[in-house]
Amino acid sequence: MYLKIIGCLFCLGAAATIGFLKAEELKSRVRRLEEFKRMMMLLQGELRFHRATLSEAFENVSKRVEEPFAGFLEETAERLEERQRGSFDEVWKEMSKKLLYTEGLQKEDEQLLELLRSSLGYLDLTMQTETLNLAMVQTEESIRLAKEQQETRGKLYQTMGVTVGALLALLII
Amino acid sequence: MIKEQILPVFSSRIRMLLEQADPDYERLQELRLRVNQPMILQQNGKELYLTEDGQLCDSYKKGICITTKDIRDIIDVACGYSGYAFEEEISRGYLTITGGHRIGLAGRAVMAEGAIQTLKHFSALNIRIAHPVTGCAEKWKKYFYEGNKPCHVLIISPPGCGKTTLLRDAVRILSNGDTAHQGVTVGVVDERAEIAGTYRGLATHDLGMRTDVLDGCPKAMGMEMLLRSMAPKVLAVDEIGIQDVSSIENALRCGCKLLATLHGETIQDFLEKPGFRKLVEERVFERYIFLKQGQTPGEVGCIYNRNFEILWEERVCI
Repeated sequence: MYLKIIGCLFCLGAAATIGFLKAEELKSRVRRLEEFKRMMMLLQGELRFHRATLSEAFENVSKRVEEPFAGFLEETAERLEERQRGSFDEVWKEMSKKLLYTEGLQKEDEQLLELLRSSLGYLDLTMQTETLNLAMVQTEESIRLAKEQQETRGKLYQTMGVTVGALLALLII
Repeated sequence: MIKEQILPVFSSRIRMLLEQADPDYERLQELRLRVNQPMILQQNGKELYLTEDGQLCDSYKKGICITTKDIRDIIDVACGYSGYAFEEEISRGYLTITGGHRIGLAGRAVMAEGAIQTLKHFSALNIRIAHPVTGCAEKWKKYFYEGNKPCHVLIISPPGCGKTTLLRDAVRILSNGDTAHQGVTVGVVDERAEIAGTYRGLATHDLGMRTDVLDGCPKAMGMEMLLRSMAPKVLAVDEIGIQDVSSIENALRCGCKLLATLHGETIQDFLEKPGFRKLVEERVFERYIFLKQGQTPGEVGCIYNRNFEILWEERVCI
């Protein structure tokens, strides 16, 4: 009997945790996108106000944003400073891959990073600020969608987690 | 040191060959790259060519041919892939890299409202290597002072004779002072970042302990700014032009001493420069130092006082 109770509690707890974790993932995606947008806003400020080079701007902004963007910017700046590790295109591509696949941003965010790769450093200051503006607008749209998902699916995951856990518990009993 | 500053600027193809050839960077004066032409390394007044097998030779026929991509890559790296941050410099035809080495640019000018907006279709580069020679002005130290105080000094020479090198060391000497002369505050307006070789606000060359550097700023504007903000006793500027004369006069009115350089070869050249006639007639400059073309940068040919009387001439000391 004790074993059954322990089993029930375990199933209920595990399923509920999975549900809550899935919901938390949606929440953290919103936070991450908001931080990404903030990163671009800060970059825009650095370029517009300081006329900083990309590596300078990345280095400065890396101190003001949270992970994973802080590490991403810091390493990109370091590689650009070394100069012998490839062009901006090559460095950005490599670092974006790392950011996308190791830090859990989604596949659709790749387009945003690609937009930045193809336009940052190209032509004049207006081009830079317009590129960052466009990327920020697109990020806002991603944030809106992520928030919608968080509201609808977030609650669903939590409820489903608890329900599945309860069902498993009933089956065990 | 120079090697580490210069090599990373090149595209991987040229960098590899230069690494193999390993020229004497301490003697290297400039590197000239022109599209579809061999790359020329100027060393001790002699032209050398970089070959496909990473050697230096004196026959241009063996020299590697420079491509448009080579030139573009150098500019991209020199700008840190951020051309927008160097719009002003590019429109004036140069870029300065770490160490104060200047890259001169040639290509097609894009005009807007009668002014050069930018350059495109780059076709040639001239990389001038900066060689700080600490101590090269020591020998001439006494001519920088009138009594115990610094005086107005103008260093004159054709390009490539070491005006900036001598100016840089003179700044260091005046700033640090010595047992006979107290060090003074020196303000340096370093329009092209060549004097201090500033990188991210930090001077890479020794300019002394009482030196304030304002870099990237047009000379006329910079002189007035430094006078107001840093109250220097000596203002140092490189390659002054007619457009700077009114700022120079302003600096003189403030009791500030001027240490400047100017393009020219002979006294006649200098006297014929229209904007400077007034300064000469008013006997503003107390020392005129003429450099000569020699093996060592900053070699002095003769020194005159404000009345154009010879104070020092090669082999003749007064």
